[in-house]
Amino acid sequence: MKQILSRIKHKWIGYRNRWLNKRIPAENTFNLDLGNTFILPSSFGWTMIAIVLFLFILGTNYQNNIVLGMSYFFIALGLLSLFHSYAFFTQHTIDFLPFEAEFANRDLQLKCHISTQQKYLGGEITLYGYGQSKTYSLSHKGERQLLQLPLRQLQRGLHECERIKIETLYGFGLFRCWSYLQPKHQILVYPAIQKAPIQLHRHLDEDESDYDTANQTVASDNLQGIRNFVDTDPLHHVSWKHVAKGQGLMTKDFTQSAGLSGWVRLSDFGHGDEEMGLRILSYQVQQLYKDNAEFGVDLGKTKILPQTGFDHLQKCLFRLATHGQASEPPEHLNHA
Amino acid sequence: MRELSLNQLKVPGILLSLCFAFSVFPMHATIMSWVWILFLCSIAVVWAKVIKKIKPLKTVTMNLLAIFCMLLLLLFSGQFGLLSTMINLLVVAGCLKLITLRTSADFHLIIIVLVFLIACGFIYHQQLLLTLYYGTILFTTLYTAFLLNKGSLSHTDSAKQSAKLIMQAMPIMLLLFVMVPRLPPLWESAAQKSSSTGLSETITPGDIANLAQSGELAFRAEFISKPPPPQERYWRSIVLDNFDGMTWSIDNEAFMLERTPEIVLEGEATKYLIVAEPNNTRWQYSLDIPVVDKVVGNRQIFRNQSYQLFTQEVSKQPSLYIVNSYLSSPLNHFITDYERNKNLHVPQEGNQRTRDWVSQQISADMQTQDKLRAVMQMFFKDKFSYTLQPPLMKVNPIDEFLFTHRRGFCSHYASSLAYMLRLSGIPARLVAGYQGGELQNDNILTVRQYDAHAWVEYWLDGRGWLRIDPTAIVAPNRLVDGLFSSITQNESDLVERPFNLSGFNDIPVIGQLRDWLVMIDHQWTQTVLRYDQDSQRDLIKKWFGEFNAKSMTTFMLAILGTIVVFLTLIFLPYKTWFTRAPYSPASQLLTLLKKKGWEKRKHETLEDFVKRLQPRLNTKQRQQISHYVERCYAHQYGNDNTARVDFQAMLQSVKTSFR
Repeated sequence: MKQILSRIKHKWIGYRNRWLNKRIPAENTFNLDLGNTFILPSSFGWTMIAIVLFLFILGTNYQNNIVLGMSYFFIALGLLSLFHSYAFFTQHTIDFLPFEAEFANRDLQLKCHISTQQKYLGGEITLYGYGQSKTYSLSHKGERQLLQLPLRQLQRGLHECERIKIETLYGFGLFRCWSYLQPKHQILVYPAIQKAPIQLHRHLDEDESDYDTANQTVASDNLQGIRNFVDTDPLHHVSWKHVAKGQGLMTKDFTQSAGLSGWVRLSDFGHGDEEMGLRILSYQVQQLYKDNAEFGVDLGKTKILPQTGFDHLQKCLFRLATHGQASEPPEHLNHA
Repeated sequence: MRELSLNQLKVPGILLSLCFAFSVFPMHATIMSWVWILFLCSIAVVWAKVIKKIKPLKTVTMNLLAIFCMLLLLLFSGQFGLLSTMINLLVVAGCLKLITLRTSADFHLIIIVLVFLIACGFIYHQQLLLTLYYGTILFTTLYTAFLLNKGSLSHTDSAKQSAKLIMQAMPIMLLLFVMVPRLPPLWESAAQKSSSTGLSETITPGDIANLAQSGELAFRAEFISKPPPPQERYWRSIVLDNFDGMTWSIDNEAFMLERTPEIVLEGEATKYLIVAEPNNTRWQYSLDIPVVDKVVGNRQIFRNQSYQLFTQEVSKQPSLYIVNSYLSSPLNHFITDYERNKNLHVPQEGNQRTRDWVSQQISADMQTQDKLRAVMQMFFKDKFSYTLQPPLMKVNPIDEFLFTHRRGFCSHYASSLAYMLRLSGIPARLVAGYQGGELQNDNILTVRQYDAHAWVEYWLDGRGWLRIDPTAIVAPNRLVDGLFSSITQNESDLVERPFNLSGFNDIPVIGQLRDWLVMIDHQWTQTVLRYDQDSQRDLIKKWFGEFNAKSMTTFMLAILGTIVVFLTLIFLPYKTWFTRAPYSPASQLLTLLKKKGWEKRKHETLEDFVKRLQPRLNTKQRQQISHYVERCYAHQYGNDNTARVDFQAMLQSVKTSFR
């Protein structure tokens, strides 16, 4: 039974969203107006309609003009409430702010600015979305206000934002005005973080046996990585192993002066559980960024060339997030 | 449902509990005592709640309490009428919800209960002052509803806003009130086991368990000569000749005039003017024996054999007439065998104990006065009491009244005495009318509905019809000091007292104020409470000349149109119409570019925006646009006075460059 109900609900939401996509396409700024506003009596409003009927019958049967007058009063009040609620709702403009990327195990915030034409002050507004809801008291000064809705339990990836329902009950709470708005901004969720020791490959085509030794040293205490020898480097920092292999003069770089470089590889982690691997990489790229390392990421098909810097980190995280998804990085990452 | 924080709960909680208390207050006679206890507890809980957050009651406890209350209600429902059980049910429901008050849905439920309670209150009381009282409660309740979604608005601002909404609703309500056609009762209403005093052409004492007393004005008498003392003020209105064992009713021939010859009256005449409120019957009021001197207006007032005054038709307008009453003249002008038999008639069966008792007391050879004395022994001997809340007496009502309950009001006493007199062979009948009245000053007497009274007349050969009032024996104060002296405190609550300033008669301002209040009250009753199909018809006739389907439709459409115009006046966005944005050539360019699919970013200047577009434009477009933008800047910030026409032309050339 529950299943059937949830399936019906699912179907209904799908149908509704298709209809809404035609009628209220995704946008980042919405002026609430006739085209995107829904209005119906609230449960209190429906009860009031029933009461009006009841009062009318009571007044008629007892031939009591005062009770009849009372029922007309509620009709009048309902009528006015209808228009006032609508006018209150449509005086608002909603500006969705771009989402800040977050990790899957943390709450992402949907943020939007709401501003009014100051026709009606005060009131409350409720945001619904992703199974969450939050009610805000609107400022009585009519200034721009920031609303936030925490989005919980999002999967990694680049998502379209769901339709967010925003609702107001103005006046005596007789009418519910609402709209389903979809921000154009996309939600980027990085894989959650899973700690694991860093395995840095020096070369993309390096085989198993190779990284072991290199990495043992790397992973040890405050050693940060290996870099090309500079004249000022002390001799006891030279990695003689590399010299022996004919790779030239290299310096073992300790904490004070990072300069580690290499590749992290998805296939190294998770033991077949790709999500787990992505989570581990998500941790590692951040660590490597913090260590100021020059690192590349090997995700099998996708490879990101070694580089340093925040933009690079973002790019890597983006690729990790969208691994397996067909998506283009957003504009600001492309510029990087 | 959204749970409210302590802060949000505070003011609405207090307001709502106060509204609840005040709306229950005028109905306190109807509320059962155990409901009072629950009521006080729930108010206490709410106040405790808003002062300090307390733990909510367990659901199980609440449910048990609810079931217990419902059982109690069921148990007592038999003793009370349907309407009062309903009121008690509403109060109980409200109390239980007050105890669990937590979410906005709880508030809404209590508000709904309050609306119902107020509607019930209006069924009992419709005077202007109480209407205002209930209206205030209703508005406060609505204000509470407003507070629930007020957001960060202050309480004062919320009050202003909700007052604005209510004020806007008023004219619409009035228009609807005038317009919506009045329907006859859709079905028999749940019998309100309560009746209001006043006049009716039948009296069934056993059927009334709760005599609610209305303070509405029945008539005013302005004495031209000296007014008679209180115990002489028996205002005759309806004479009831027929009795079927349960109900007294008027004779079919009551309105016959043929057998009413002129009569000679003796003694001094008491002259007075009557201003009678319409009473839905043809009967008017007078002291015995009336001779109509003058009638104001084009109506006639007749007198019949039972010395009653009546009009040709039931009128909705007040009647005004001057009467000479010959108080000392005997009522011995009309008695025929037919009348005598009619007033001796008793049903063959029923009320057996009374029959037995009367036959024991009376022997055929007794004189009329002795018989009367013997019968009256009943009221002297046993302990009778006067009450407005007698038990119901459905079967053999006179037996039950005389031998079982011995509690009742005037109709009970009069009915049983008249019956016993008939049984003992004395012609007797019931007279319904008003007794007493309140002297407003030296010569103006107001008689209200709660002054309604019933007494007995018996025929004594040689003397004529004599008045005897059994209620006077049981409650002698009733005659001299009025109703309030003869009932208990509890019962006097049943009586709606009119707003009374008669104690301040000496001060002229108060006297004027009183007249003014009386006038308002009168207007209220006439225009609002009595507004019905006929009034609507009169209104349409007045406006359109005639009443037919067409004028009715026009009338309704006109009023609906007025409502629409009113709403339009409130809601149309004039401000945006009349304060048009000033002419800006820049925004015109932006509109044009937007149509091409390029939109300026929020914090971009016009210059930057155009620069950004450059790679997508051809040379000609680029030139046209940058020229336009240059002039725009010059127009806005410099002292360049390019005419609007020039801008239009330039814009046109930009447009053509895109073709």
